[in-house]
Amino acid sequence: MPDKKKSGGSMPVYRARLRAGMERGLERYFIQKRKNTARGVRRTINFRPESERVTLPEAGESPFSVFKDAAFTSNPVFFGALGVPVLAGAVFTVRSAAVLTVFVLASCCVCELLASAFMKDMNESKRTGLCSLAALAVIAALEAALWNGFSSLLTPLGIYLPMLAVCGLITARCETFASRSRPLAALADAAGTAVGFGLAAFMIGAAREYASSGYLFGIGTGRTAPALGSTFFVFIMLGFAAAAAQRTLYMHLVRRRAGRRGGKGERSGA
Amino acid sequence: MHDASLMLIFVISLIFSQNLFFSRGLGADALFRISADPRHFFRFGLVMSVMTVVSSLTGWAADRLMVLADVTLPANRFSLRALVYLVCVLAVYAAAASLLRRAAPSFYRGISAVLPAAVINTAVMGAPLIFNRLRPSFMSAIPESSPLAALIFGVAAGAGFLYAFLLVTEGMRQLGAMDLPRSFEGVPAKFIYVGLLSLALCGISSSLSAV
Repeated sequence: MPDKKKSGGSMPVYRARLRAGMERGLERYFIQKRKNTARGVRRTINFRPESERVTLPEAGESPFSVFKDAAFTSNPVFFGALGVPVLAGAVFTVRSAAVLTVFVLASCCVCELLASAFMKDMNESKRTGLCSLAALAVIAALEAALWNGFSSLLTPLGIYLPMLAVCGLITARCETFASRSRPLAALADAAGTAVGFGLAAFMIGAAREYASSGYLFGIGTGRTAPALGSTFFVFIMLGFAAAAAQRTLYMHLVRRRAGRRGGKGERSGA
Repeated sequence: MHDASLMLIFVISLIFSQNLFFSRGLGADALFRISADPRHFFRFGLVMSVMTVVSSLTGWAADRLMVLADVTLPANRFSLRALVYLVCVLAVYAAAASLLRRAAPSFYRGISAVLPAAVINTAVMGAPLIFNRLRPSFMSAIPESSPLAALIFGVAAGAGFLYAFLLVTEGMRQLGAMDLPRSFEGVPAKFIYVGLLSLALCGISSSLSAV
């Protein structure tokens, strides 16, 4: 009799405890998952927490490795999602991609050099504001200089050309790298950023030109798909390109680690 | 009556179907940057929406000042105009930040982490430039000397950004709890998610225009 009472009375309590335990476990799982994702995103994007931010390049680090890192292994578009509005709004042909790359190169070089030489002691707000103003001034000066000879190239860029200065491409690189580096490294980073942006711009420009006219460099079928000129196509295409870049980088890192282990093993074996 | 209804349709489409974020990608840079720290999402969206209204109004004020001072900028060259707008926005930002720091230090501390990214981005910069281009077609009923058109445009664009941010925030929350392939974790998944949302809104706006 007491056993029955005990089992009858304890079942709902047991169930409630089980449910509470499961909920707690699920909650813990989701919290951990979210933390992992946030950590991963922080690592892939260039806005890292203070402890993980880019530090001064070591004495042995060459400008070429800084360039390579800025252009490929931490490409500003594929890993940082920087400059996306300009890519979506202005890059419809390969020619516009090339023009934008030139503008990015010029403004990035000037701003990163300024940030590296004079803005190291400023706070973030002031530095970001000054960098964007300097970038826009460079873009306006370059536009005025090129307008007479190349107005047909500049007109299609419309309102998106000045937006290069505020789209994060220049300000983020100044904030995360140039303001903590030496001028030569900053210049190499600016060149790498421009090349990285140019790669993404060329890819999107080529795809959109082919989709809208049916031809690319005179090669093609002539069939068109005008809907692919819309913004959604750029987002989806960038998503797949970023996934491919992430996969390539991951494989590269795995191979490098395996190579190091192999080297160590050989040495210890010898 | 016709002008008023045209303006109403323009405002509604600016918030939903022709949202500046999904149709032109404006503000995408800021959103992807802030998504590294999802705690600030709503605060950031709110500050950015307010700054969109402020930039539309300061853009209108700068245009009026240039008209009064008889200064004409080249029509197709937008960089000089953008430089004027950016100086105005930064001046307002600096004044507001110093005022808030003294008057409401706890509120300022709460938003100071998101302020630079919320003020200097393509959404805040693009709003006055787009208003300048679209005003003659959709807001001709309001005289140019009145700031009402700029205010309506700024509020509609800001509401559109807030709406887009809420949609994207929810998506990011769901994406965070999903088991994605390693290659798609982080930025690629966000790109594709935003692209699919943009495709859906593009479909809605094109079907509306067909009707």
